[in-house]
Amino acid sequence: MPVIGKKTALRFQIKAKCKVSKARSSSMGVIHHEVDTPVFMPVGTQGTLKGLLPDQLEALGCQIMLGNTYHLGTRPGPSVIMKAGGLHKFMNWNRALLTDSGGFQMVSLLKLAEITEEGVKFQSPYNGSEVMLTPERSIEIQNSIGADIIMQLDDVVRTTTTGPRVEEAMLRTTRWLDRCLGAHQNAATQSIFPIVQGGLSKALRTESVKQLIQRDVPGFAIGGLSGGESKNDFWKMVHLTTDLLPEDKPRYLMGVGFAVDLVVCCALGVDMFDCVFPTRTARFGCALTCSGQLNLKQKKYAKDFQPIDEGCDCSTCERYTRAYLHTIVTVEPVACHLLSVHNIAYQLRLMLSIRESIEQQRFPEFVCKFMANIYTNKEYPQWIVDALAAVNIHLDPADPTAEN
Amino acid sequence: MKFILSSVASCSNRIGYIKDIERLPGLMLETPMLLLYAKEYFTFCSIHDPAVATPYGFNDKNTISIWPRNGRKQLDPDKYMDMIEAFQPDMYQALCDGDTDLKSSKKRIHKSIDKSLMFFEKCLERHEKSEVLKKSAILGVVEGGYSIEGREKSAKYLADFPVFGYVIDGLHKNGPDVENLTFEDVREILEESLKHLPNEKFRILHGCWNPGTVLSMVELGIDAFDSSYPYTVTERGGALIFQNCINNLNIPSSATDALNAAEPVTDIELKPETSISAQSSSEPPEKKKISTQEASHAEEDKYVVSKTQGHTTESQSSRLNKIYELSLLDEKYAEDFTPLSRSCSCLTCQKHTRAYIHHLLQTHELLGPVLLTIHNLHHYMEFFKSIREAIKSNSLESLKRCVNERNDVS
Repeated sequence: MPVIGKKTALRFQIKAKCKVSKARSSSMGVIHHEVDTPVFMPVGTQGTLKGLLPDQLEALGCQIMLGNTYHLGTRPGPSVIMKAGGLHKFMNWNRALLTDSGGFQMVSLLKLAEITEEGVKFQSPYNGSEVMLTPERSIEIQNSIGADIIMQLDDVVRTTTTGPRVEEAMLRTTRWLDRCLGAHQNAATQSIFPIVQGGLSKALRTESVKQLIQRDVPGFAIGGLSGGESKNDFWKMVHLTTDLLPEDKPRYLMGVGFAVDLVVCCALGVDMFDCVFPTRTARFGCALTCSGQLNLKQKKYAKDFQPIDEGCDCSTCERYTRAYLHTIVTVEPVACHLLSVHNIAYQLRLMLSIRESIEQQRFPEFVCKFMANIYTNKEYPQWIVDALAAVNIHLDPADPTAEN
Repeated sequence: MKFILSSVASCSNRIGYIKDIERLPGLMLETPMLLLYAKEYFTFCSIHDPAVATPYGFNDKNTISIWPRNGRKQLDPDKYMDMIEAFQPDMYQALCDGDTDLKSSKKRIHKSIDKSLMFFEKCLERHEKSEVLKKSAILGVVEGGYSIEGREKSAKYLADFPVFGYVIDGLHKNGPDVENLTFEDVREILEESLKHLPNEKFRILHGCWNPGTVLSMVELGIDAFDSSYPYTVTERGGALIFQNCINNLNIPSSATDALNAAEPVTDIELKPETSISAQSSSEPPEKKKISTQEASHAEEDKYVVSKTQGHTTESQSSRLNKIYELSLLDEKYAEDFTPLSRSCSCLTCQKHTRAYIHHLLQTHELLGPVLLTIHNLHHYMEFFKSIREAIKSNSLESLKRCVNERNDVS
């Protein structure tokens, strides 16, 4: 069990820093497990991860995963989870857990969500009655779920929103943070992360960070940046925010999970990520590899007797061919399972490579090689070139004299 | 491969051994057995999926129909043997017309017999000529519906051929409804079929027979069954808990255990109303939502449950269920933190609780059927171990009593 500091349930220790970019490899100790960062956290929305056994996840090297407060708070509900002794015991996952606040689903899933100073008001999907999710209630539910890291309830706006609403949300988020901290019952075992907001405004983001770092918290999340904004705005906000946040605490970029984004944001100094993408795309028959995605539904895989990825050592690649997977994807439930295993293995292996390259001071080389594998014609998207250049990593440009 | 009986003294209650499987030398499997599609087993190719009801009336003079994913296909013996040669299974059955059941007319029965015999001869001819099937075993298929004369005709005819064994077919049309057939319904026909077959050959009987019926069939002399029953139980959210061996400590599987099993709660006083939705435990389905996240959840629900549930009548299945299985979808398991079965050593029972599985089934999560499958298959395979032990120790009657004993599942 990791050594826990006096006041918080989280200890963060940087092991190595990239001398070129802002990347760092660290160790984050929480009550249930030691987590190596940068880390990708798979999302086990309803207390389970697409058919995978906890044992399989452990075997894949997963150290921390997400549970979703809105979904779990509805089914099975906090009362059942409490009676089980917390979500860890309920699902028999003995490593680290993180829960979000439930706020995002409120706004994205439910019609007629009304956000007031009190909290988020919405119509229950079950009987149409009004339900109010306040900062206090969100923390109460997250306390009963018992995850190692819990998120404040934030006032989240879509990235495409402009105008005074963005500032209102940012300021309210700070006030809600204080209410969350006040309501928190388990400071000794659960850490609250505040969430930096401010949309795409440099000034608002800066103000948000300034306010949040005044609170005694063990880590920070960066919110509101995994929606419809342009990649160009996206990286700039991440870069700005990590510059402002304290170095000695973990930074969690919420909702980011495409491989390319992960690599870039590690360079920009992010430590934690979560995304439904790898498991969701598995459901639709897509497998992730270093050279991009394979859509196994395509006819061209019908007689392809290679594994998804020759270099992958996951149980799916050990035993199954693309041809077999092509036959069963989206038809047999086990296909979802098999592809989820592979995709999670891929993401976790990617993160391991990132950490190792940072520790061995060859992260910039790793990034260049990674990008060259994905963009084989070396036509790198401009935002990637710019983002990496901002932290002194320079990708080989495409030869301007080559024929297109 | 070879099938060897430990004793040919009697047709019934027999222990046998399948060995010398060319593809898996050194492997020896004991019968009565479960046909399981796993690594260390021979592969067996049947025609239809015993767990899925076969539509009635789609066979014609020269072909039978099967239903692969892209629509109905008609197979004649040549097409069928082409496929068998491509698959190269260790064991397979000849093409047959088994489209008969309790209600079939004499005309239909006779057609099924005659066609099947014709198919059989053609398949056997192809089999004997085939290079790639030299290591495969072919089984003859006994038809005859519920006609004694029909069964006699079919079995007698097949008895003389050099096949590895037989499939007793034509008793049902597959699918979960087979559970509702009692042994009495089929006893006479089975006896008649087996009577005319050589004792020393291997016999398979497909279908979702319930455990009590399986035992009776073992007594008559059936050597192998398929795993459609535990599969069907899983599909309806059931967990097998019938006593599957003789000396089991009779640990009650009642849900009242839950009251004593709960872990100590934290200090927080949390009233049920503080869940996000006021009604956390009533479960009307979520309404259709616009956002993509919700849409893919709905899609996920559709996708995961696409293979669920046959259509047993409510009263029949609940009568059967009460004896052999728990219905994990039932609300009463929502807070039951005990394992499915205290005396089971499978991963599900060692590591997970009824409450968790209930939650997974309610939320249509893939892990629910995964955990149930692990348990149900394990439980059923242990059952077959017990059958073999009981035969060897002459205690099949005791096993029968244990299996059919009503478990207290209040």
